[in-house]
Order: sequence, then C-alpha cells, then structure tokens
Amino acid sequence: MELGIALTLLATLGWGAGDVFARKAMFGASPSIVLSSMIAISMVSLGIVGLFLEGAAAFGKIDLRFLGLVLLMGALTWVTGNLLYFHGMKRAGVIIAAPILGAVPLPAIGLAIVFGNEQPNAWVILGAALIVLGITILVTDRKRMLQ
Amino acid sequence: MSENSRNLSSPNKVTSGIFLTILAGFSFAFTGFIANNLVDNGRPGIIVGFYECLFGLILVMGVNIRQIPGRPRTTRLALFWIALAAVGFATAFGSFYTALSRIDYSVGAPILGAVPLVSYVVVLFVLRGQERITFRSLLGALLVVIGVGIIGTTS
Repeated sequence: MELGIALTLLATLGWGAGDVFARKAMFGASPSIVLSSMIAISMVSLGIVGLFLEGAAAFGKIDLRFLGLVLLMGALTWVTGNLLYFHGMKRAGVIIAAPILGAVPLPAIGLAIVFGNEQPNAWVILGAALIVLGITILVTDRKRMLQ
Repeated sequence: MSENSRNLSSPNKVTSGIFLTILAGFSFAFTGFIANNLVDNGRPGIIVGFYECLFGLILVMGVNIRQIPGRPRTTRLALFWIALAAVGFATAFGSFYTALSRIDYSVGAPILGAVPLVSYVVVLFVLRGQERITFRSLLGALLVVIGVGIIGTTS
C-alpha cells in the first residue's frame, strides 16, 4: 500500500475516533470549551512531532502567502468547520452529523470542477448520487432518532 | 418532566444541527484544497497543521471570549475525552496533510468519507446508551461510504 494512502487511512481513524471522543466530552463541557482545549492540545502535539521530524528551522520558513493561507485554513477548519460541526453534533448527534461530514468529497469534487476544470465521469456521478441518497435517508430519520 | 425527555432534541434543533454540519463540510473541503496547494509547494504537512491550529486557536478564542466568564464547569472526565479527541485530531491533520504531498486531493478526500464508519464503530463502545444506531442511520451511512468508495476507486 502506498504510504500516502496509509496515512490517509490513519487520518480517517483519527477523525472518526476523535469525533466520538469529542462528542463524549460534550456531556461534561460546552462545545466551545471542548474545541478550544482540543486545538491547544493538537497544536502542542503537532509542534512536538514537527520538531522531531522536520526540525526547528521548518517552523521559521514562512512568508506572507503561507501565513495568509494558514490563517484562512485556521478560520475554515476551526471556526466555520469544527466549531459549527461541534454545535451541529451537539444538536443532531454524532450518528447523524458524522455521515453528513463524510460527504465532504462532494464539495471537494465541486472545487475540482470549478477551479481545476475537471470533468467528473459517470462513476463519480453515481457515487455522488449514492452519497446524496444516504444523506437523505439520514436526514429523514431524525424524528426516529428522537424517539 | 423526566430526565430523558429533558435531554431529547426537538426536530428544529436537529435540523439546525444538520445545517451547521453541512456548512462545516464545505469549510473542510476548502481547507483540504488549500492544504493540498501548500504541501504541493514543498511545505511539510505537520508544519501546515501546526500553524493551522495556532491561528485556529487564536480565532476560536476570539470568537468565544465573551462566553468564558460565564462558561459552565468542565468535568475531569470531559477533560480526559478532550485529550483523547485532540490526539485523534492531531494524528488526522498531521497524517492527512503529509499524505497530500504524496497523493492527489481528489484521491485522498474520498477515502476520508469512511470517517462515519469509524465513528459508528467507536460509538458502539464509547457512546453506548447515549446515542442509538438505527437501521436507517446505518443504511444511510453505508450508502455514503459506498458512494465515497466508488468515487475514490474510479477517480
């Protein structure tokens, strides 16, 4: 297996488990506190691993473009991403929220079409249709989830 | 009113939760797109993840600053789960951004569609009695994962 695929699978495990652990934490803390604490611990963890793997110099090789893009990433991931997701998870539950987030490839394909001028093939359209159907089933099941 | 009925969510609350999650999904898709651009230009994925967390922490603290004085007490058990969640997320960001330097975003993103399956397995152990997996929710999640799998293997 290619290392890139293996790392992506590891990321999938981390996100999948992390979502549930975060939901569990929300039974004893507000989503905002869970998120703030989680970012701080994640930052320290990545900083330590980065020091070991890349060295201290790698943290200094930054320019304005890089700073602007990671600032945008920080806003998208943690403010409009995880903050909204955690509030969404608190309201709808992880059983409904997690699969909806699993449909992220759909907007990703949209970005590839709009900015990358890519043309999706029939399989991609079929996959997208199944994702939409799956989400529709999940969304229409919300009343049953409340019983 | 019983404890159970107090904990139930209203349909409107669930709908708003779904809407917030969809907005979050779009945000994550854009983030991956930008991260792919940065690591393709030689930036180490772990360093990208570190700075993303640094700016994210500043922004989230800024957004939540008014809530801090009146925030409810956090239990020690919650702190334990927060630490575990943070390890999971740090692993995810570090490994995914590093992976993007080796594979295309259009290949990596669909694999992440399997996140719900991992979540469901963990829910069985961690959230037993607190969240229920119904047949329809399982069917819906399975269709999402199959759809993502088709996109991942044919793109």
